[in-house]
Amino acid sequence: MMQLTPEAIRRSVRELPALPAVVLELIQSLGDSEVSAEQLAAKISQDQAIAAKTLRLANSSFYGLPRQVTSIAEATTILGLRTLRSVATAAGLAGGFAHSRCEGFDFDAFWRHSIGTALTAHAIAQRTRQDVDAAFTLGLLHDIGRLVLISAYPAEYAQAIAYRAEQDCLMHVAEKHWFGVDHADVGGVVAEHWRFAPAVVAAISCHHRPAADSTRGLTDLVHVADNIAHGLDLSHKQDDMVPLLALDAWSRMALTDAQCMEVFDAVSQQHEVVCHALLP
Amino acid sequence: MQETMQTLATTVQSVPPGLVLAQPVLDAHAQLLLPAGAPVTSSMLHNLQQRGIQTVSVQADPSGSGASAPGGRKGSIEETQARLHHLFRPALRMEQLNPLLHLILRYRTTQRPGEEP
Repeated sequence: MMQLTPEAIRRSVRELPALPAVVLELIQSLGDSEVSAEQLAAKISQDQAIAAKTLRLANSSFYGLPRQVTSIAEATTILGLRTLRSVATAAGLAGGFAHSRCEGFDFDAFWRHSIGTALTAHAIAQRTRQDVDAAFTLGLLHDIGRLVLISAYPAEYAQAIAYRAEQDCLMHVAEKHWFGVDHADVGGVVAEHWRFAPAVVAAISCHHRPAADSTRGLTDLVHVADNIAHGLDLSHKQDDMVPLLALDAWSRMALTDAQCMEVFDAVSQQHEVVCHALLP
Repeated sequence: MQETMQTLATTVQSVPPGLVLAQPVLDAHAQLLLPAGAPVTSSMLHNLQQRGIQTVSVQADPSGSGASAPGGRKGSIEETQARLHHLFRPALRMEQLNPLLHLILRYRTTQRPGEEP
C-alpha cells in the first residue's frame, strides 16, 4: 500500500507512454476557442491512424451524415470544429494507451464503458441544453486517471484489482485502499496538467462525489452518465457494478422518465457503432 | 457445444424490432452503418429506410422472445432483473435508493410504441 501525493501523480503524468503529439495538441486546444478549422484539420491529418478512425466515426450512423466524407477538411466543414475535435481526441486516446500492461485490466471493457459514458453524456446534454461536445469528451475522459495508474503502477494496480475482486467492492474504493487516492483524484490532476478548463477538471475529479450544494453542471452530468452507462451493462464485464448515485445530483439533472427512455434507446443504438469506429 | 443460429435476410420494412443483426449493414460506399450483433430498434429501422437500405440480415430468434444480448433490450424479465440486481449490488447492499435500477428494468422489459411483439 502506498500514499500517492499530487506531486507523485504529476510525475506519473509526465512519464506516461507517449501519446501521439496530435492527441496532446488536441487535448490542449479543447479550451481554446481561437484554434482555426484549417489548423485543426492539418493537425489531425498528420496522424494517419487518428485521421482514419475520425473519418470512420464521422461516416458512422452516429452522426447520420447525408453523404460520405472523404477528408478531414470536409469532415470539419460538416461536423463543425468542436465536434470534430472531440471525435479526433477520442480516436487518439483510444489507441494511445494500448501498450500499457497491467494484469487483470481489461482495456476493451474500459473503452466500452468510456464510450458508453460519452454517448450517454452527449444524449443527456442534448435534452438538458448543456454543451454536447464537452459532454462527449468528458464522458470519454472521466476515467483517464485509471489509465495513468495502470501505466505508472501496473503491479500495484493489479493488486488493487485483485482486492476489488476479493472484496467485491467498487474499484475506486480498492484504489483508495492501495494508493490513498482514487482514479477520480488522479484524473483531476491529469486534467489540470493538460490545462483543461476548470469545470472539466472539477467534473473529472468529482465524478464519484458531486458536491451536494452545487448548481447543475458538468459534474452532475458525468456522474449520472457514468451511472447509466454501468446500468446499461455496456462494458460487457461480468462483475461490473453501478457506483452509488448521488440523489442531489440526480435531482438537479431533473430528467423525466420519458427522457431517460430516450437516452437509453439512443445509447443502446449508437454504442456498438461508435465502439466499432474507435476501438482496434 | 456451439449453439447454431439461423440467419434470415429480410426487408427493412418487415424486420421486427428486438432481433439482432447477423451481418453488418453497409451503405453504397461500403461504409459501416451498423455492426453485426447490434440489436434492431424501430428508430434504427427508420434511419436505414431514410438511407435507402432495403434489406438486412438478422439472427432468427428460435424462442420468439426477442434478443437477449447484453446491449439488447428484451430478454426474460427474471434474467434481466437478476442481472440488474447484480450490477446495482452496491446500492442494494447499502439499502440506498437508485431510481435508475427501476428505470432501466422498465426500459429492458417493456414494449415501446412502434415495436412489434
